[in-house]
Amino acid sequence: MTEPLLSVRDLRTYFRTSAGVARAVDGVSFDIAANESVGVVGESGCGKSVTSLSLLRLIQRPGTIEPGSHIEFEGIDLLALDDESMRKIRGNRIAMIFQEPMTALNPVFTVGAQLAEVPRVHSDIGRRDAWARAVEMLGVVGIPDPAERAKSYPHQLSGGMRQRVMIGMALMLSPALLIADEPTTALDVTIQAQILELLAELRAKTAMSVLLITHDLGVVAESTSRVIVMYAGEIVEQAGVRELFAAPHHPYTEGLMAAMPRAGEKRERLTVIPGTVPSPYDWPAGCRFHERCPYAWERCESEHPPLYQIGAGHVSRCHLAVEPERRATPHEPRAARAGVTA
Amino acid sequence: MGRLLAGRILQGLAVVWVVATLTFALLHSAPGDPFSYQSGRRIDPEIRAHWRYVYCLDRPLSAQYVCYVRSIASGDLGYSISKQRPVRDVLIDYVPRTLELMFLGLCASFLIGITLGVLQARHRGTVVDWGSRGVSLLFYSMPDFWLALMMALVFAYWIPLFPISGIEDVVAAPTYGWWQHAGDHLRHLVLPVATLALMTTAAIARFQRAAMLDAIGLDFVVTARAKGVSEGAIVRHHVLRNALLPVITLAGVTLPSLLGGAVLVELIFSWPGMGYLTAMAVESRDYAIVTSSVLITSVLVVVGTIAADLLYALADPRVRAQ
Amino acid sequence: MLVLRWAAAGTLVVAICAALWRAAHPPRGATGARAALARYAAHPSAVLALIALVSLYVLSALAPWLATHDPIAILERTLSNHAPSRAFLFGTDYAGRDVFSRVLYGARISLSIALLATSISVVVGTLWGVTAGFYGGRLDALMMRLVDAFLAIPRIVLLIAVGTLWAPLSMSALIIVLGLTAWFDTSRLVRAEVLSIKDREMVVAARALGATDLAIVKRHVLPNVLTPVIVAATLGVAGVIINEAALSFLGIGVPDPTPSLGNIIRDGTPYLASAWWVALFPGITLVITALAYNLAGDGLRDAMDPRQVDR
Repeated sequence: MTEPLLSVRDLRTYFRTSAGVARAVDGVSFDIAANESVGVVGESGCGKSVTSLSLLRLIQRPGTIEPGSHIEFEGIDLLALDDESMRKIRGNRIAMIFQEPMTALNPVFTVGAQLAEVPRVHSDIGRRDAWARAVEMLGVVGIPDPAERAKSYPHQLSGGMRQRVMIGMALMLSPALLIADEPTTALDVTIQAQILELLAELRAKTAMSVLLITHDLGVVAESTSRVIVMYAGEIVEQAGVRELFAAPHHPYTEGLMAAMPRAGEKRERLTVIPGTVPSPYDWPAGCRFHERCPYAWERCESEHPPLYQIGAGHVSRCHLAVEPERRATPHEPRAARAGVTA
Repeated sequence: MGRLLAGRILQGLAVVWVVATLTFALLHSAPGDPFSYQSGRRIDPEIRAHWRYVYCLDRPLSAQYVCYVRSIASGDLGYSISKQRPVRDVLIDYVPRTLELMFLGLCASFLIGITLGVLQARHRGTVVDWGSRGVSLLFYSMPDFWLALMMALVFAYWIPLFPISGIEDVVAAPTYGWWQHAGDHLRHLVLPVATLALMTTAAIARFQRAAMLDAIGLDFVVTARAKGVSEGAIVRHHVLRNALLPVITLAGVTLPSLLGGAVLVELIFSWPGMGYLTAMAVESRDYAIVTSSVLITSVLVVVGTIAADLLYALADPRVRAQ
Repeated sequence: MLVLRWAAAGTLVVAICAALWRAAHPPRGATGARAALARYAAHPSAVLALIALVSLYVLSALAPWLATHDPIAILERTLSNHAPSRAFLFGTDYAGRDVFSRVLYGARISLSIALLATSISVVVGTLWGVTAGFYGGRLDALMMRLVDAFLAIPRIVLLIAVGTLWAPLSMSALIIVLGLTAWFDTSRLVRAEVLSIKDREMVVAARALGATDLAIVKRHVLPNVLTPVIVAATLGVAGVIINEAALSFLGIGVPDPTPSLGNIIRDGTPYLASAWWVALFPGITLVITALAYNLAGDGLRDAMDPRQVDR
C-alpha cells in the first residue's frame, strides 16, 4: 500500500470574530494518492474553499487552523513547518488556481512577468531564462502567439485565456498536487469544457494529482475519479465517481443529483432541497442536515452521525447506514414545513 | 493619451477662468476703489492713466470684466502698490522661491509619507503602526504657523542648528564661494521644508496606508502567496505597485494645502517667496498682490493636477491602453 | 473660591461624559443611532477625543466664571512677558495680560466661531450637493465645475484675499466667510451620495407614484446623506478652527483686543525666544481641539459605516 501523496486528518479551521466562532471546517479527513483526481462538491458555505486554503496554510486572520489538525504531504507534516519552509512548498510542490482569473491576476504586471515570477521566487534562475520558460508555458497551455502575448496585461486577455495563464502559473514548477478552486465557475460553458480538457491533458503529461473543488456535479462527473461531498463543514459522503452517481447514499447527495437539470428530461419544476445551510457559528447538534432531510427521524436530531462505511471506498455520514429501512418512509423535511425554501 | 491631455488642459483653463471671475468680483465688491490708496501713498498719474486704460475703468462693469480677463490672459496682473512695480515683475522674483520650497516639500512628504504608509500597512496592528499613526495625526492637527514657530523655537533658538530666517546669511553671503553659497542655502531650506513636509506627510501616510490595506485584501495577493512569494515581497512588489496609483491622485489635493501652508511658513521664516509676499500684502492692503496670489496659486494647482493625472495615466496599464 | 468653581465645572464635564457613556451602553441590544454610538464607544481614542471636546467646550463656555483675571484689562506694564507662575498660570504677554485667562476666553471665541461656521458650511454644502446630484445634467456639471475651481484655490489664500479686501471683518462677517469657504468637500460627498440613491428602486418607485421632488428629497435622500455629512462636518471643524486661527494670526481675523487663540499667538511671536509661553499655550489648545475633532471624526466614520471591518 503506497503512501498517499496528501493525508488530511481531522482538519478544523475556525474563524474567531466578535460575532462568535465560525467552525468553517469542522473535522475533515481524506487522502489523495499520487496521480489521482479528486473532486470536492458542496454548495456555498460548506467549507470546501476554506479546506483548500487550509492545505496551503493560506488562511489569514481571524481564521486559524486548530491544533489537533493534521496535514501530511509527501511525508512532511505541513502544519509543523515554519513559514519559510511552507513558502517553499507553495507554487512549487503544491500549486493552486482560483475562481476569478480577472481579480486573481495582478493588473499592473504583464502576464509573462507573473508567470516568470514563479521560478524566480523558488530558484536562482535569471530573468531571461525565466521569461523564456514563461513563454514556453503559455504555449503549453494553448495560448496562441505566446511570445507576443507574454507582454500583455491581464485586462487585455479574455476570461478563458486568463484562466489558462493561471493554470500555466501553477504548473511552472511541475507540482505534485494542483488545487483548483472552482476553476470554471466564472467561465462560459464552452470555455469551461476547453479548460477541463486542458487540465486533463496536462495531468496525463505530468502525472500530477488534482483536487478539484466545485459546486457543479457535471464537472465532477467528467474530470474526477473520486468525489468528496461536503456539507456544513464536514464530509458527508465520499466515493468513486461512478459509484456516487450510480448509488448516492447520503440524502444531501441525492438532493444535489435530483436538483441537476438534465438534458432530455421533462420536468415542470426543478427539484430543490428545501431550507438553507445552517450558520457556521451555530452548527446544530446531531446531524447537520436533518432539518432539510426527507428521511430524518428522532435519532438524527440528537446523535451526530459518524462516517459509516457503505462499501469499498464509499463512506457516508448518515444514520440510514444502520437503519436503511427508514428510506422507505420519506416525509416532508422540517424546513419545508416551516415554509423556508433555499 | 493626447486626447486626455487636451481635455485636462481645457478643464484647467476653465477653472482658471472661473477663478479670474472670482477675483474680479472680489476686487469690485470691496469697499473703496480697488485701485486707490488709503494710506496716502502717491501714485504716479501716468500709472493711474495706464490703469484707466488697461482696466477700462470708465466703462460699464461688463466691459471692465472683459478688459480684466483680457489683461490677465496677456499676463498683465496689475500694479503692486507696496512694491511700486508691476505685479508680474514682482512675481517673477518671488514665485520661483516658492516653487523651490514646494517641490522639495512635495518630494519629501511623498517619499516619507509613502514609506510610512507601507510600513504601517505591513505591520498593521503593532506598536509601529498605531504609534506612528498617532504621531502622524498629531502633526496633521497642528496649525502650520504654530508648527513653524515651534520648529523655529526649538531648532533655531534653543538648539541653534539652523538659521531662523531668510534665504541666505545676509552678512556673509557676498563673501561666499559657490559651494559655501549652496551649503548656506541648504541650511536655510531645512526648517521651512521640514515644517511643510511634516504636515503633509501625515495626510499622505494616512492615505497610503488605507490604499495598501485595500490592495492587500485583493485576490491577486492570495495568488501571489499561493505561488510562494514571501510576505515582504508581496507588500513591496505586488501591493505597493497597485497602491501607489491612488496616491498619485492625492497630489491634486495636497498641492492646495501645501501652497496654503507655504504662506504662513514663508512668513515666519522670512523666506522671500510668494507666500511671504502675500502675507506682507495684507498689512499694506495691496489688493493687486493679494488677488494675483489667488490666481497664481490656482494656476499652480491646475498645472500640478494635470501633471499628476498624466503620471497616473502613464503608470496604470489599464488606462494607458486607451 | 475659584477652585470651587473649577471643581463644579469639572463635575459638570464628568456628568456629561457619564451620561453619554450610559447612552452608548444600553442594557438591551441597541439598534440604529444607539448602535452607532456603541460602536463609537468601542474606540478608546474616539472616547478620549469626545471627553476632550466636552471639557473644552464646557470649560471655555464658562470662561467668565472660571478665568483668573480679566482677559482684556492691561495690568501693570511691569508685569509684561512674565513666565508662568502661581498667579499667572500661563504667564503674561507683552501688554501684561494674563495668558491663561486669554486662552480660556480665546478658546470660547474660537470654538464657537468654528461651530457656527461649520453649520453654515454644512447647510450650503448639502443644498449644493443635493441640487447638483438630484437634477444632474448641465446644472450638475456647472455646479461641480465651480466647486472644482474653488478647490483649486488654497483656502488660506482665498481667506486672505477676502479678509484683506473687506477689512476689517466684523465677527459675523468672519463667521460667514469661514463658513462659505468650507463647504466644498461636503457638497462633493453629498452629491456622490445623492447620485447613488437617485437610481435606487425606492426612489424610482416613489416617482412612479407621483411624489414631488421635494418630498423625495426629504424622505429618501436626506436621511441617507446625513451620515457622510456628519462625518465630513466633524472633520471640517478642525480645518475651520485652524483657518480662523491663521486669519487672526495675520491680523485679519478676530480683532484686538478680543482674544482668539490665533491672535494670542500673534502677540507672542515677536517675543518668541524670550516669552515663548505666550505662543505655546494657545497653540497647544488648538492642537488638542483639532486632534480631538479629527479623532472624533474618524471614530464617527467607523461607527456609522457598518461595512467597515477592523483595520
